[in-house]
Amino acid sequence: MRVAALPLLLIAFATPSGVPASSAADEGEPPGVPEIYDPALEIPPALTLDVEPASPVDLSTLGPPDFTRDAQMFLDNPPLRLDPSRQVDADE
Amino acid sequence: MRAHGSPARLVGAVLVLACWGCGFEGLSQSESGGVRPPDTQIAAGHTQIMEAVNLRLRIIPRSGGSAVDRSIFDIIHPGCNTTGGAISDPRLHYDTFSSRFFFVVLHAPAGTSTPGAWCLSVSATSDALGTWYRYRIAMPNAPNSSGTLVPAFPDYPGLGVGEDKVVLTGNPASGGFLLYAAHSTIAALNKSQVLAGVTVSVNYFTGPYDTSKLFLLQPANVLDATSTGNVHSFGVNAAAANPSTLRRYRVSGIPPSSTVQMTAISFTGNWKAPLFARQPDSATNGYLDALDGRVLHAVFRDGKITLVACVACDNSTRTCIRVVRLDGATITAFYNFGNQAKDYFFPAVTVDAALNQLIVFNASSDSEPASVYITGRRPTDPPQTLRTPRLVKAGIGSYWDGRCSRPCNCIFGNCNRWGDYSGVAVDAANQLDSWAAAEYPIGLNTWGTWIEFLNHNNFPQ
Repeated sequence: MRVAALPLLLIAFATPSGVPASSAADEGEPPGVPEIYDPALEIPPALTLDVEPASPVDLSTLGPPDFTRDAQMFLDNPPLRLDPSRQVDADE
Repeated sequence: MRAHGSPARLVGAVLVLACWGCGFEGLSQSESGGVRPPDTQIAAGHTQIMEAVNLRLRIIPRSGGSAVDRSIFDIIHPGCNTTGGAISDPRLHYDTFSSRFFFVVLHAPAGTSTPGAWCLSVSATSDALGTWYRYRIAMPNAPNSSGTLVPAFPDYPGLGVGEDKVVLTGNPASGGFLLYAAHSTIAALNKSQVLAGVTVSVNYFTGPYDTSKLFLLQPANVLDATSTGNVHSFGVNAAAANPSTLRRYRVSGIPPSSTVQMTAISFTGNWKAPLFARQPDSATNGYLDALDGRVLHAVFRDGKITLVACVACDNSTRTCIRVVRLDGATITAFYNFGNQAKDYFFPAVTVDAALNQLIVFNASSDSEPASVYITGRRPTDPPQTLRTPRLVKAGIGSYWDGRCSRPCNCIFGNCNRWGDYSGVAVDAANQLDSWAAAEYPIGLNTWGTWIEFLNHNNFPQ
């Protein structure tokens, strides 16, 4: 799935201090000019809730940690990243 | 009784206070329940350094003495510890306004019928080994592909601490999948209530439900008093093949009366998902997953935002760091930083009190295992430049997490998990110094983390 990498060219680390190892010019990406539509209140408050805290815990008096839960209760999914196949061509 | 770190780490903790730029081993996979990836985070308080990974915490006294390891479950709300449920993705920050540690992790209950939550914990004082206030902030239901609102959990949670509010973000997910029709969700909390450990007012915000839009929002921690008032979150439309706008969500006011304003900021150039990162022996062990171009980290200092991501660069032949600076809604810097022979990925950024930018990241290549590097720039450096990276910890070798069968054919979803992010933070005790932490391989199937102290006199050259 990976596009073939370029041949190993030891170029970037030869640059002196303060010079970009990969410059903006290298990537052809100058600063953009912002186009702002503002205000755009697309996301008004949906709901407001009051949330009760649990009683505080004091680690200085808490017993020894129980590490047995850690491996059992880790969210071990595949990465929840965007599927490239779901990408569309247009931003808007 | 407390669990103690190894003597080596005790030595490391003491050494760090005396040297001019040095590091030591952080938490490792074997010390953290064997899970992967670590999602490494670091915070430097006035009296302790704290590292967080899945699902472990390490608290290192600055004055010396033993490091203390705790389970994340020891500091989070008991409602986040449910049978068959799961937690993940820690985010950690030491807030210099309040001198408190802030910590958040996602909670995904078993099944798909119960709302997930942000598990937010805040130390009651500057002492991470003392009392913690614990909250479980439920996530609002989010739309599935049919538009039906369903319970969800906040994947890849973000944590942004401002002067008067705390902002949490998350990508709605259910049953192990992102809800593609849902917009990233924002929860804004009243900070003074959180600091007091009392019932907290929360405002929730979410964007338009549109299958073509999914914004992975990353809030910016506020680092100084000139940047107060609002907490900004940033995302790009990573669901687009080549997005052209950066979206800023500005939370104003104090919950329960906060509001959000969105601004779309156009940029010139590409913002494409990164390639999988190369590593030695990738034909057998596969590549490293560098995620999807989401904004990984953002900070707000001197009234300006600095944010980082990793993106495809050089005509999509490799992966680079993307750095963006914003003054208000104006882009003042927008550039890539990379190396033609390597992939750069999982950057984290901070800005110290002298306005120096520091970035920690991973770099790897066909011949170099994933390693930890530091770069940065001083305000007087030429625009859109970063200094020559400094290797702070070399990876031991190629990494294979067992997700794919060898020889690995890396495709979406089965590539080696890496990251999912690195950590860097300004030292609260001297805001000219910083601390960084990131993952590196310590064995074929095992990760470690490296903690680096960055003295201001040892800035990258």
